[in-house]
Amino acid sequence: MSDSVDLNTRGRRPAFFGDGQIDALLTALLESMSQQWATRERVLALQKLLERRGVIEPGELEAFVFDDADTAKLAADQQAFLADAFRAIGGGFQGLSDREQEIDEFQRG
Amino acid sequence: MTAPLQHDLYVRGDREQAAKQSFVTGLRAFVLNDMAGAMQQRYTQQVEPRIVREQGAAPASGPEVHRAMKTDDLFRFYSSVRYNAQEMVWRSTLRPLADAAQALNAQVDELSQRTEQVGGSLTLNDAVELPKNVAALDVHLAPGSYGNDTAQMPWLAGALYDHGLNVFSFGAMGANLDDIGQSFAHYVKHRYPDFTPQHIVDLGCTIGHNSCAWKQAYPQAQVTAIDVAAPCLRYGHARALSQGVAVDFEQMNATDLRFPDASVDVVFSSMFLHELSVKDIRAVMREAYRVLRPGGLMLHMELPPNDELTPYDAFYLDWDAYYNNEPYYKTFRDQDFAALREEAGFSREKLFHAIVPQYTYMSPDAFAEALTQDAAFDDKTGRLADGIQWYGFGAWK
Repeated sequence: MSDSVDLNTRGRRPAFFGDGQIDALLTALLESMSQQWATRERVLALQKLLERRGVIEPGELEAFVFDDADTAKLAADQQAFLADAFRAIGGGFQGLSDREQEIDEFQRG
Repeated sequence: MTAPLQHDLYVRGDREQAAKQSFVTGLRAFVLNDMAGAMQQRYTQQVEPRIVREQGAAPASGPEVHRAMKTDDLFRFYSSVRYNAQEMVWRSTLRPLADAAQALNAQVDELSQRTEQVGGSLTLNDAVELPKNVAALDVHLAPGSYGNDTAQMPWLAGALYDHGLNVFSFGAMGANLDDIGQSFAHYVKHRYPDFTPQHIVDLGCTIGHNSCAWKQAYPQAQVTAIDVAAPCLRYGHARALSQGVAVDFEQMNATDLRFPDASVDVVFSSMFLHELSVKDIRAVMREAYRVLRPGGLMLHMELPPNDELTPYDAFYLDWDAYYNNEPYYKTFRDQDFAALREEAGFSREKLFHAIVPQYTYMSPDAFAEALTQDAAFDDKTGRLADGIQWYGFGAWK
């Protein structure tokens, strides 16, 4: 990728959801979706290549079953992934003023 | 999926880049068809009835609908996703173009060698400055706007426009993005078979994608494609040569044409006037009248005027004025299109407008059949979505 090209649009972005934070989240989500789509397409291309070269048979990928050890590891990984993703839910949020006051008090000892 | 452009300057990008472009193409189609449909339903079923209950009357204009919709969650999602999708159009195409800079440079040079064989020309003029509407902001959110170039990529804005529009239009603008030019050129051919223009001028041509269509429809005519932006003209010239189409590209401002009085048969533009201030639109109309021969044709493919639209459809099209860096998108459509032409010198009885189906998406017979009836405005007129029909207005001198 050349460094000489600026990918960004000049000017400020509209905040359709009020303060712009939800808009920013949506930007991240859509970029992530486009990356996910590219990965999904690449995996399909790999599958088709493997089938075409006879490394796997058509339908073999669909019929593939993980063994018990892999299944257990996948289940554990999935739970850890979900815990990571939802770590902020129910965690108790704090207003910025309240937080500032708490830090100030901490500093005063 | 993003269909490949049909010329030698097309850059597909690597697998990941191409897949991301396809994602953006699909995202835009989803936003402009599905999400837009849901938003319209929300308005007619909930928002408008609520306003009627509260205020005794429905919103009567685009801005009134806009005010009512601004806090609606569907409008917010539609707008935020659409804005992001617009940015992603450019981001997904800029990267592969920058990666392919060296190869594209060689391709542009190689194509320019074909000028003698194909015909056409490229005339740049340093004295033509980029006007404020092009230089001061990134039109369509495209980084660098129409003037974007670098020493290594003197054609960058043109290449970005071409590849970006291809992703943007989700297959709705023709295989080489020339459906508008093809549709209007063939509209004129069918409606006015005795009209044989010798000189056709395409104003604000960007990369000449529609200028080429006119040359293909009227091969005996000289076609001059003008624009203020040198990077677009450099690219457009090479693009036309790649297609084997002879078009003369010239750097020129449409408000100050360098053609003698009464020397041109057709003055055409597409999606151009709405990028100009009303003052400049008036100047363009005056210049068109001046350079046209008696019996010549002025024809502008454009967005439909607000007075032909429902308040909701006006609101829908106004989106681009506020959120897509096209500030004149609304003020243009607020004008009295008849008055603009008459003020320039055209006679009222020689004014017309045309609603034209998509030529490259139907058989020539079906197109000819469709033109036997005058189409009416509907919610697909001038609105990029499945089933669009193009709107144009013009005058004979």
